[in-house]
Amino acid sequence: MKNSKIRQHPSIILHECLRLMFLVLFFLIGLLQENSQTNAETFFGPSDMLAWVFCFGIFIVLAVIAIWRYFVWKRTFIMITDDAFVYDKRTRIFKKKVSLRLEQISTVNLQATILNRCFDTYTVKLDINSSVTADNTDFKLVLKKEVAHFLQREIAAARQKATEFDEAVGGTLLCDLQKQSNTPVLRFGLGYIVRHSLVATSLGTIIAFGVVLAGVSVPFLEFSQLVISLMLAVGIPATLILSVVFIIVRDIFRYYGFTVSREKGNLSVTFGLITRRSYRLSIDKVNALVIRQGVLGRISGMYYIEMLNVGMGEEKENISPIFCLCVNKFYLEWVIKTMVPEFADTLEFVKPPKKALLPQMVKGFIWFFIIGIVLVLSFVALGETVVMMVGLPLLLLIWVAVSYAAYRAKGIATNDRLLLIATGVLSRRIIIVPFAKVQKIKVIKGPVGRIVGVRRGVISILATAINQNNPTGYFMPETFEKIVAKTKADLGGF
Amino acid sequence: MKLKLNRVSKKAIVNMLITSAAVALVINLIALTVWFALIRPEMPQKLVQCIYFLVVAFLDIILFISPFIRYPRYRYSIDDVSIVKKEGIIFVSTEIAPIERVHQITVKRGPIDNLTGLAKVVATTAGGEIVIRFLELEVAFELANSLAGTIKGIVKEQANDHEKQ
Repeated sequence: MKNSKIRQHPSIILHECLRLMFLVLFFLIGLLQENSQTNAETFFGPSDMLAWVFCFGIFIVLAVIAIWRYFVWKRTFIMITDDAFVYDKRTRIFKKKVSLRLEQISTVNLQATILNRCFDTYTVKLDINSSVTADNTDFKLVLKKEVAHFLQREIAAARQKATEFDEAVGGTLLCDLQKQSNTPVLRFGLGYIVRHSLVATSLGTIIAFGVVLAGVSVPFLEFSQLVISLMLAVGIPATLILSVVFIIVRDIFRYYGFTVSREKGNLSVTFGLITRRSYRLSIDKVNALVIRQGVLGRISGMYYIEMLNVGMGEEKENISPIFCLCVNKFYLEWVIKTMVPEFADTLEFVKPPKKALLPQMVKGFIWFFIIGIVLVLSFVALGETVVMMVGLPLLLLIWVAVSYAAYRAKGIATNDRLLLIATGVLSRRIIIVPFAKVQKIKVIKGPVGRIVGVRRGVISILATAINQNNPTGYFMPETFEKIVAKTKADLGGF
Repeated sequence: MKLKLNRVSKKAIVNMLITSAAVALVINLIALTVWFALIRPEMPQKLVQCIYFLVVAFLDIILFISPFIRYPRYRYSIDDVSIVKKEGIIFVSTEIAPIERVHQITVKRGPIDNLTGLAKVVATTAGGEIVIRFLELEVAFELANSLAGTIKGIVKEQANDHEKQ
């Protein structure tokens, strides 16, 4: 297999035409359903004829695309050499040849959808460790299972060599772990998945699902007084329960068989019932860990972990780069120490100074001011001055409480290797970044911050857009000077 | 920790003023369109008209004053370890990136830069860009070359270590 030209599996043509095929099918079903409701005389009426012509047009387009894809498939090859992955597309119009060093590939994601299972193939997604393409998959291939596994093995071996070189040069914590021969494996059963669904799902998601469900079911109801009363009494709780059930079922399909394993310097994360995803990545390509706690998680003392690496997670399909499902604090520490000891350390958070409360409150005041103006105008228009007299102090109280909670929620912890940033009032987020992975630091001095002598910062890392910039909150200038000095010194990177 | 930061070229004020003039032109055109389309026929009250004029005039004044505040605050520093840029009018931000993280250096010139004989150096890291604007063309190329040299040195050092292994 090595050094020989390999074609992708022909089913890639089907993969690429599938969406359009669904569109045609959807349209056809709609058309047939409409026709079945009308009588036979109007079956070929002028509007139906137009629809059939349109459908035929799409079919022709589909055929042209399929033929074009066939030629692309026929003239596209991949090659795996000793140290490189070569992608060579030579159609008459487009020519593309990419040669990529194997150790440059940050993540190999093997995905088995139903279509893949029918043809005994994998959809292989390769991601390069680059910020330019961090939000997209760099290469998406459809390969026979044995070829996909071969590619995964070769990339893992190349990365192993690269980290062995790092060991010789730097001698880091990772290398100690690489010498260990045991392979820690973490498996999450069905109970853990259900618990994760219940604890990790935010209240906003449940309400959003509820609104969608209610929106779907409301048109089928007749609005008598009784129905409205019933909806309020039974409908709202029932919709919320249904939403929770829906989320649990979705997560069972998504995270079924969630397994994390580590073999020397490589991590594997596998999950999914219908679409099975299998990520394999080198630990030196992990840029940060994010420990998250939703509202329910904070009440029940549960945490889950995400791993920031180019290629983990699927933003388009709303799948977060999850690394460990919901666990308690004791187990969380165990998981980090066992699976990713490079990110493990006991650190004390430095809280913001008391004078940081003022800029925090001024920041919140902008929202308070806007909402306050809208409220005053609305109440004056409605003539509800009494409600306004109660509403405004309540809003003031909320502003003070939220600002104080936001101030209290911030925290920074550092040692020679790691930087931890804690944020979030209701949902807590702690990001653990090795100084060696900090790409850029921005320190901002605002007008209020200048008066009281505090700054706020933004720490940038290599990740998808949503996780790239991590704000810190207001701290003393010395805190940021320490972060800058440690980043420049690049102590203990791995 | 006090950083020694360099000032950019004095031509930067002219560059900023031209940019401000262009922005002011767009704002005034939009303001005029809104005036003729909405405010004049719909709201004949003198107070609304006065507030509208004051807001537009205030924006224009701010645009023309801002270069004189922005220029003295715009500083940069490049050494063997890091790139630092400081800028801002109300919110002053300092951006710092270690040289080792920079993977691309570009010298760019826009139409206003061409007019004033200036250029900008864009240092790209995996976590975003640091753009140092308003540099004399020779200074920009000198900086870019020196940065490229430093990065090349780091890569070469790593490659030598690899070969020794």
